[in-house]
Amino acid sequence: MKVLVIDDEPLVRLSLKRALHKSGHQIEEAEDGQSGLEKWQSFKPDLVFLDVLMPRLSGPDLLRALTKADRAHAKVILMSAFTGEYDLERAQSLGAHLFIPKPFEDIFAVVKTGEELASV
Amino acid sequence: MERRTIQLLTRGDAPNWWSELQALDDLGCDWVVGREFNPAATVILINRAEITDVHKEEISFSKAYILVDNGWTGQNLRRAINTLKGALFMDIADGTAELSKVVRVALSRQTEKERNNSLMQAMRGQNRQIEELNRGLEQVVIERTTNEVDSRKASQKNISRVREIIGFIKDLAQLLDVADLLPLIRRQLKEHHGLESPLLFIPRGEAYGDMYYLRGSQTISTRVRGEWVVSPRIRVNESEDSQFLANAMGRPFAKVIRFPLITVRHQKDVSRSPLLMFEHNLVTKDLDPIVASLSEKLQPVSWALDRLVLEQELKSTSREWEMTFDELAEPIAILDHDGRVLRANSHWRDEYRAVLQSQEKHLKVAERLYTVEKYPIRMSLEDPPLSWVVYLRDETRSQKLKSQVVQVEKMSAIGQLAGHIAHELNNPLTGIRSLTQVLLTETDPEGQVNKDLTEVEKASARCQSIITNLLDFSKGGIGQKAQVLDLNEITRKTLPFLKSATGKFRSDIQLSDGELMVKVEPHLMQQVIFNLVNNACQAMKDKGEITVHTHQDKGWAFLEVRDTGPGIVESVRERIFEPFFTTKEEGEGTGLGLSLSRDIARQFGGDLECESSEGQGSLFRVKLPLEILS
Repeated sequence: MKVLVIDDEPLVRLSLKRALHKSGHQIEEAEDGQSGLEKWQSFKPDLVFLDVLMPRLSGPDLLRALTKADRAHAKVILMSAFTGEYDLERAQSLGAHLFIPKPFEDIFAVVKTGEELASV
Repeated sequence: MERRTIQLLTRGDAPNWWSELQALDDLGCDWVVGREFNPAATVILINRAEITDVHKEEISFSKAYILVDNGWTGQNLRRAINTLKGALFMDIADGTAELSKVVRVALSRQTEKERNNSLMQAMRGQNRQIEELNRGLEQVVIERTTNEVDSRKASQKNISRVREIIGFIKDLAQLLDVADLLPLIRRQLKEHHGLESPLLFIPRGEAYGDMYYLRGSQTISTRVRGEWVVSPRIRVNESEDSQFLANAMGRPFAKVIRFPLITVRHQKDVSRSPLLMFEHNLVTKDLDPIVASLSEKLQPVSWALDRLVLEQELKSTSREWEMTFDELAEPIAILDHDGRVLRANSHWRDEYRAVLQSQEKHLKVAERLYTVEKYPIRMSLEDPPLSWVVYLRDETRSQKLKSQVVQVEKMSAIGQLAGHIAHELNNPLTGIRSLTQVLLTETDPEGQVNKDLTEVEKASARCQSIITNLLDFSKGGIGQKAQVLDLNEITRKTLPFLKSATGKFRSDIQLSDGELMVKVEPHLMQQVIFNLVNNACQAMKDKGEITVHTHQDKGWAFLEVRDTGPGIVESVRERIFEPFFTTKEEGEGTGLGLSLSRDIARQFGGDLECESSEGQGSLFRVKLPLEILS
């Protein structure tokens, strides 16, 4: 499974990468929205972990910038530490499939949720 | 004189002396002889030998009797006289001339007797007449006496009536209030049955006025509207008057007597004259004397009422001034140039006079902060001020509101800042915790690294929960709605933020078992806990123990913050909840913390109390109504 992690926090990227790697997935990461968009278009991921607040291009703006083709079969999990403004409904209206608030309680549970979402 | 009859009562023939006697004396009498008593006879001669018991029975005192005998012995004389009860005695042996004398004596005696009788009769008649006359006179005397008593009664009645009126006028003169007039009038009229309690209507303006009436002994006055017929005369049983009263009083009225109370003031415009009215159920016959008696008393009532109404108007004018200015919640006064109070409203205190001479723009008295405004009163622009209107504008509320706004804005800014910080921390924290979780799976579960990583994971989890709490309370900030929350939970989440303040003291936190559900705005409640704990710490300076307890009792949740500081002296304790009151150094406290905290507690239906005495430490107790959860 091709997984793209877009988050400006290196430790979040690192921990997700390490956890996903254990399951044998192919992983790409991006440190802001703009490079995330480019990676998305070139890598064509099956599953995307997308942060909301990022430099250059925010998560929601990235989603708006995607073409229909870009999204194709990719499942998107929106993540935010600013829980007040985002929830599942808002995330779905933006074109994401799931919303996971930060901080995570258990990184492996997050990975498992993502795998289940992408395998449907 | 009528012709007399002389009878000889005998059973035999007339004897010789009888004819001789007749022949001897011409007495002008009829001489008769008979066996029976002759009723017509004046003098009756009876032969002694012929007196029988029957004769004795028939002898009457209205006649004169002569006892006749022949050869009479002195011995028999007494018996004979006794027999005939005072008769004359005639002895034939004495000779005719002597007999004649006796007859004459008898006649004259009888005549005298008869004269006496008739005299007596006449006298009796006269007596009767006199008696009648007497009786007539007596009647006259009785009648005259009765008349006199009556007239005395009448004049006494008159006097008492006049006295009563004078008393009434005196009472009227002593009246102090219109309200006392009606009971007085009612007392005056209590003898008139069938007359209801008086009603007094005082016109105050076009189509409205005040109606005074009695309820029990109390006078009630009520403003009424309506049209009434204006008339300077007493009106009796006019349906318009009953109608007017019915409209004014909201109940039907029967027959009504209406008296206008006209005084000099009303003479030109009778429409403003007060009206005294009585409901009644009297017939015309009984009505007249009452109307007459009432009319007599009306003039003094008019005068008294006029005086009372004038006084009332005067009082109400000055009361209006006072009420108008008392309505102002702020002190206002007119002072003369030397600062003497000429007039002031109820909020003015004597100590405020000092502001006249002072240049201070503000006056801080007790719990209030005033802006001083002074306006000079001059006769003309050139003249120096005669007096001053001094108005103290109360800034307390606006200052308090201002401080409250500042406080809320501060809280909101802190809230936003906390939100940003939490967000900034959350991201790396997520990374730290998550990576630790990953690394934990990659190390030997029994090894030292694993143990260390477990500690890192736990510490990051703790950080995470603190940040979550901070976010919870900073979220929203202003305009956060009151919610039903657990006071223990709020306290638990607030205390960690106070660690820097409470750090150097021993602390005893005892939160009650179970939840204390109260309806509050969490960030405001948090502010209260903040203030109380901070104050407690500041009071203790260097060392001591701070105690935070919660418990519930009779539908209330309590949060108690106790310190072991120096306590609060009574003079200070009375004022600690006043806004701007502070014992802290300038710049250290606003003097609003406790005032706001109490406001907040009260806003949620509770209160904030203080128990303290010098040297005993202080206890602040927040109480909030417990929410009953369904």
